[in-house]
Amino acid sequence: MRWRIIPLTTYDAYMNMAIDEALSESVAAGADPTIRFYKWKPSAVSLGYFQSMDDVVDKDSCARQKVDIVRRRTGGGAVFHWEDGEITYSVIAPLDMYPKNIIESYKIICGYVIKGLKNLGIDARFAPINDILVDGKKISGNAQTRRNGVLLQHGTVLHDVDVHKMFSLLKVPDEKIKDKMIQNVMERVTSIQNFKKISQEETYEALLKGFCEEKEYEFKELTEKELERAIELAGSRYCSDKWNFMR
Amino acid sequence: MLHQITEKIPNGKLLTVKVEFDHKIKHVQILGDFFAHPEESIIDIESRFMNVELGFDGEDMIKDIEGLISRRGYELIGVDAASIVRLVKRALG
Repeated sequence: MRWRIIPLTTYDAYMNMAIDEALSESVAAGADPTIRFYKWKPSAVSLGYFQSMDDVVDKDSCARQKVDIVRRRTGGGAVFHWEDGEITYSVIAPLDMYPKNIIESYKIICGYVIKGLKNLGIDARFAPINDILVDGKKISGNAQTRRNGVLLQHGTVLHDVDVHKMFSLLKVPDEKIKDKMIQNVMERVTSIQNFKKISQEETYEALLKGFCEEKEYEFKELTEKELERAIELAGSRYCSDKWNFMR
Repeated sequence: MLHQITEKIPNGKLLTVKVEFDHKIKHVQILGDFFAHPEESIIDIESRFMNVELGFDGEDMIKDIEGLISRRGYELIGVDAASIVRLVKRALG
């Protein structure tokens, strides 16, 4: 099976989620399985499908800091996509290319990230349900949806992390314990910068190598049709309050 | 009345239920950082609580939801029928 690899691109939150959906439609219609890498500009908070916008995100703070907010098609938790702090990937493939067991399929796709980190000399491991850890600390979170015979898994790899900024954008259940929660997350989360002082570009290159290993692939951009469809979905769904505030 | 309960499910994810009720349950919303496949299945599960008596039998409801999940091929990850029912019961006090 030949893969299409879409090299690192940068879009806003709405387009990034819309591109994932447009590519899922493409793969459902017979296009090659696709891997894409992307960054978010401006920085954004993405919300899991089942999360409550009002409960989880500090909308005023996001607006003040010019951080976009978008709901994902996938479950999981809220993620702060810091423009300078992470690389995001998506794997979009026919369901029959991966095990029916969801955790098993997470393990395989997270394995690509783990190979990428290994290229940087970082020894990571998959931690079910959907995390990748280094020395017991989370370096990558991942989320999957399966629709119309297509598996979409996207995930972030932390190149750098700013926990204080992240907490300034999210709501915490009790302000009195906010400092403790920040401390707790700082103890449980890590980034590539804690192991290697390299550029975001070098992180991307290492991940790209990890994802491409043992695959037949070619580098290709989005088609014009996919881009048009993504623009349409960004406007009709991912920018809309109906979608973003549905829970 | 609207009551809300949040719990971190052991070995699972964060689960919040919001239960709106008067003399019966009017609406249950199931929220959190869990996964459900397909995602719309959660609406189907939420609807099982609609117009249910406040003193409903928890074991029967767990069986009902598990049956629904099994019949329709739904998959919940990080939460299960028992944890959802337990939190709805807690929200009702």
